[in-house]
Amino acid sequence: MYVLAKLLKALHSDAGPWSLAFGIMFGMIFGLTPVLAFHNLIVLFFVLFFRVNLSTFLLSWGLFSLCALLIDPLMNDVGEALLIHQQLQAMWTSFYNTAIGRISQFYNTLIIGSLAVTLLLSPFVLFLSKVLVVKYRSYFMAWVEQWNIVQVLKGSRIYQAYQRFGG
Amino acid sequence: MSNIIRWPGLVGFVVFVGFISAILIVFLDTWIRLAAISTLETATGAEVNIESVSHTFSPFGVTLEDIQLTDPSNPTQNQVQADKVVAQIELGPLLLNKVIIEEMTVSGVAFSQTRASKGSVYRQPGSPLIKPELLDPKKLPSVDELLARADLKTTHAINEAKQAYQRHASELQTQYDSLPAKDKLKEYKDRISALTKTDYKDPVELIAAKKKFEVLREELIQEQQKIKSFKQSVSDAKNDLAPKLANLKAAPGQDYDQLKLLIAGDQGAIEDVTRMILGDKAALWSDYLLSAYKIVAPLIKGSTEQQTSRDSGRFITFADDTNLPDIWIKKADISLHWQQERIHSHWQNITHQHERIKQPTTFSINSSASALWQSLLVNGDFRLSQMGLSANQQWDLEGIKLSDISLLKDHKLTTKIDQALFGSIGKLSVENGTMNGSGDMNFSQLRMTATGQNNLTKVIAETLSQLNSLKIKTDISGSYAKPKVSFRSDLDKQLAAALVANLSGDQQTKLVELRGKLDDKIKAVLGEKNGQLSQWLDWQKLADGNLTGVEEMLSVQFNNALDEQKDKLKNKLKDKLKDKLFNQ
Repeated sequence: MYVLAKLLKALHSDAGPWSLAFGIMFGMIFGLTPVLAFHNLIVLFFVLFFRVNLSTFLLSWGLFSLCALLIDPLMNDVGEALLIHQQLQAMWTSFYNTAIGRISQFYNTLIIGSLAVTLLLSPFVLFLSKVLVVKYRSYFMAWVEQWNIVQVLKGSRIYQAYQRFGG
Repeated sequence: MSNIIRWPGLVGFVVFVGFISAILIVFLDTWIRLAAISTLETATGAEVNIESVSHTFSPFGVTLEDIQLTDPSNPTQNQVQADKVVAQIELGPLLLNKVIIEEMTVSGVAFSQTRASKGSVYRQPGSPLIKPELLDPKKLPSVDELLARADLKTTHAINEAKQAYQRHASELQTQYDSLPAKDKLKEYKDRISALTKTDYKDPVELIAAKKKFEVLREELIQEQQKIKSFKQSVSDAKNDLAPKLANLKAAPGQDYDQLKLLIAGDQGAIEDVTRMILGDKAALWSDYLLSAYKIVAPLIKGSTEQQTSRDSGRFITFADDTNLPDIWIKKADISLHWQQERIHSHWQNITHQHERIKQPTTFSINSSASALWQSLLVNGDFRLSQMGLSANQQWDLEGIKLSDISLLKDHKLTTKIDQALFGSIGKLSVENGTMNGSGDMNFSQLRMTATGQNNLTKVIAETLSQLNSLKIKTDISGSYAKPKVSFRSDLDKQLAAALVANLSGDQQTKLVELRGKLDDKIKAVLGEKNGQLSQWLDWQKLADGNLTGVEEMLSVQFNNALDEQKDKLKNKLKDKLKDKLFNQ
């Protein structure tokens, strides 16, 4: 309920569509890759330092974490294929012999596989999200505002509290 | 720009990272302690206690205090313990998962100390030292049972003699049958005589005779070869069979010496009496010899590839270009605490990946005289590679004072060293994981107390109590993971003699019966084989005679006869020529 309230507020706020789209994109990276990995510290830095919408980031993180349970084996296979690929061996070996390489744990099949998949999907997710937010605001926002459920939601204590604390 | 940057967010990020770092630093000692305990427990299979851990950042170092490793085979004792371990670790390589320790000091190391409370054992060690079934005189077996049960040298000697005979018999018989008989030799003689005594009138007859000579000569050469070959075969057979017959003759005596111990008492106990008397102490001392290698054993185990479950992904290892080993202790000083004295050892390059540093691990102890010893000298090196462990170690220990050391505590026999001076010298090498070494252990100024409870142990105890010195030879073999250490001393013989000297009347009777039955066993075989050997020797003499005859025929009669005939013919031809020339 809290997250849904946040999402509604974000969609119906003045926040730019790129801010919302970046939130969804970074949330996807956070959700699909193992949380306790070094690259997620960089993602967190981007999310906090730049005006990335935190509501869409958190919602996206939760949703993509559920998706990860289903596609983990696939990403694992992608990682395995990448790490054992003959033409990439020189690159992996030199990266493996650096401190940052070891800290990143790129040589774990799931970490490298999920990171590769999410980086590949990121531009598409970013632009698709931006388009969807714009379309929503143009065509659906006024209509959704009239829904009883939204009125109920807006009148709820949680939403009020959220508004009060400036979420 | 301010539209896209969220400064409070940066503060939040810094606070978040700072909070995580603070937690890491605050609990760093605890985590190091838990990691060290976990690693050591995995390696030893028993409870490990570390009292406290502290660290410094510049230079990065760790200090562990009061470390105790439970002995999995005796959880009331520590396998090893140390008062303090101080290590300076290089931070850079640590980021590459390399533990490079510039300098390490381990003080107050002690072995086999009693623990305050019994330690937990997570993995049972390998089977304990097998003690011989000892010290209980068994019901005397009958002589037939003894002979049936024992692995007799006599039986082996009989088999070897039979096999040696069979190896040569048929071949010799065949060769002997193909030798020229008397008639044949006579025929050769007659043919030679006929050819040599004929008066050849013309060259055509002479040429024909010469051809016959050649044929005859060829035949004789063949006969000569046969005889020579036969003589060689007889000689080989004799050389093979004769020593085996000598062994056969000696075997009953050797078996008798061995078996009389069975009649006197427990052979198993007597054969391994040195190990028995020294008990577990001997195993402990031999363990000290191998302690250098045992230090690296956990490192070797730790080098196996890390595997995790599918859900967490799999860690793939790439070639390591850094050429740094995973663990490398460049210099270590280990101080061993023994009674009131300290023994300092110096180590260099402790690692399990020597090919990366291209140097072996070296260690040395050079301890001058103290109240407990005259000198302790140990030095060695070892290197681990794909081929296994290669190592060298020499030791020379002199004048170690021993007192009140309980060796064996059994309800039938107890042994104790009241006082002795102990010395040991030896060397040990390991090539590709296989050990080869030997050493002498000398106990001088020895005073032992021993008490026995039955006839057998009383004799053992009395013999031991009279000892004033003891020399033990140690042989080390097998793999370094499972070394085999054997002990030999003249104590075995002394005890055997004492036991045999105390035989009862019944035992004496059995000994006489035993000797008789052993002698009977070889009588028939020895007689038969001796006869067969004699026959071969007769054949050899006969062949000698025949060979001489053939050689005479070959070398003297042929050449002479031919020359004579040639000369005669030449003279005739000369005469004829003269007649023709001068009578014309």
